[in-house]
Amino acid sequence: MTEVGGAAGDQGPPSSPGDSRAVPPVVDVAIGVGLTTAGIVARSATNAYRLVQPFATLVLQPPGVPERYWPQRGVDQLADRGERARRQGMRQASALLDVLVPLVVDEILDRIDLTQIVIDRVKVMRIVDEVDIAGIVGHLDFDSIVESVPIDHILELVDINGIVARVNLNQVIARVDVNAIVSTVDIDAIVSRVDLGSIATQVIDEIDLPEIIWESSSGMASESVVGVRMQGRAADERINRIVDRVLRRRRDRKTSAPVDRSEQ
Amino acid sequence: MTDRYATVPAQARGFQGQRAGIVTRVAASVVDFLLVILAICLIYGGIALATFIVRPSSFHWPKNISWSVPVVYFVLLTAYLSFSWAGTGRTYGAALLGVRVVNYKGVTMRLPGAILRAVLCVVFPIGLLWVAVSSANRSVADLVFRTSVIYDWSPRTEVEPAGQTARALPGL
Repeated sequence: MTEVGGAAGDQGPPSSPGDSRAVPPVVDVAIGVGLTTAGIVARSATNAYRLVQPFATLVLQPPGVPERYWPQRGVDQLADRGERARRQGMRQASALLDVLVPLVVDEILDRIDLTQIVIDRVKVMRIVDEVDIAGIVGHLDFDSIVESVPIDHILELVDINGIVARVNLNQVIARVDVNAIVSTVDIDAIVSRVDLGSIATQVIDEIDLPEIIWESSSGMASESVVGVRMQGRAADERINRIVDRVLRRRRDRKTSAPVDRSEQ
Repeated sequence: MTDRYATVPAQARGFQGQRAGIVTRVAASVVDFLLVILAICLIYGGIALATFIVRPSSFHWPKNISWSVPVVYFVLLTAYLSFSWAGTGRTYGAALLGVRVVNYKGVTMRLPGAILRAVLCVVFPIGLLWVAVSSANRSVADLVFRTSVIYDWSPRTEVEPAGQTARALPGL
């Protein structure tokens, strides 16, 4: 900042940190003189008006003179004429601004980097700090937003297979705690839904359960008894063949016995 | 329907229910005969032992009882066979050899028929040998009473409703 004289510079107000332009001291002096003069003129005019007002009323509205001859009327007519001229000028000026302003603004914007200005001048984080994001989020209707999203169309555009092919499943699996997942599974509910009866029936059909029971039973069903019976059966057959041969019997023996129909 | 012979070894299921041959039946009869002989020996031995205990000083082997042996044998064997046939269809010998007595309906005999068949078998045991000659593996008793002795290795003994068994074995 350029100082105005030595003593004046020490006592003068400090310049604002953002004022980077150098202002000549004569300008500040001129502004001070102008303001002082304007104050004097304003006070003088106010006092003069107070003094002149009674006489002006008497001149403009002289008593005893018909109203249509008052000078006041001429003043009013002049005022009306001036007002009309002012209004017409305002309209013309407005029309002219409508044409000129866009052109001027475009020319200005073409010559400045507004984005860079915002970046340099605007403290975005301060603005963000002032924003009540929680309040905004609270007012949002996420359901309607989600419903308005065309999920199907988005999914059609997504290459799921390509994404999955790029995933390292082994790494993912290594991070999965299978034991924790299993501990949350309701095994009893699953088992209750399984048809154990039909499964057991299928298993029994697949294995020769009677054979197992027979082999595991004891006493009369022991292997020695089975051996004796089988030998007896074989001896029966042998004797039958011998006798049939002696008797020259050609047909087989009818050994089928009556069957208990209640068993069928 | 339950398979009666489901617990029988697979190699023996094919001939279950068919009439048994001479060897099996004779073997079963021999076992039963020996059992009755053993029972008679126990009876007379028991009598002798009782006599010895009562009069040890003057003990001597019972005399003049030879006439009673055939009677006891007849009664004991007849009762044993008839109640076994009417009860389970098997004597012990039959159970050991895996055979069972059924009537013309294929079910266990009733007690009256079983008693008559037992009497005939005891009186005329030689009739069992007709099994070897018969083209249907039937003994004389089988022909007379229309019965059959079949292979039945199943552990089940009752083949008829409980009510019928109760009628056949009153008081048991």
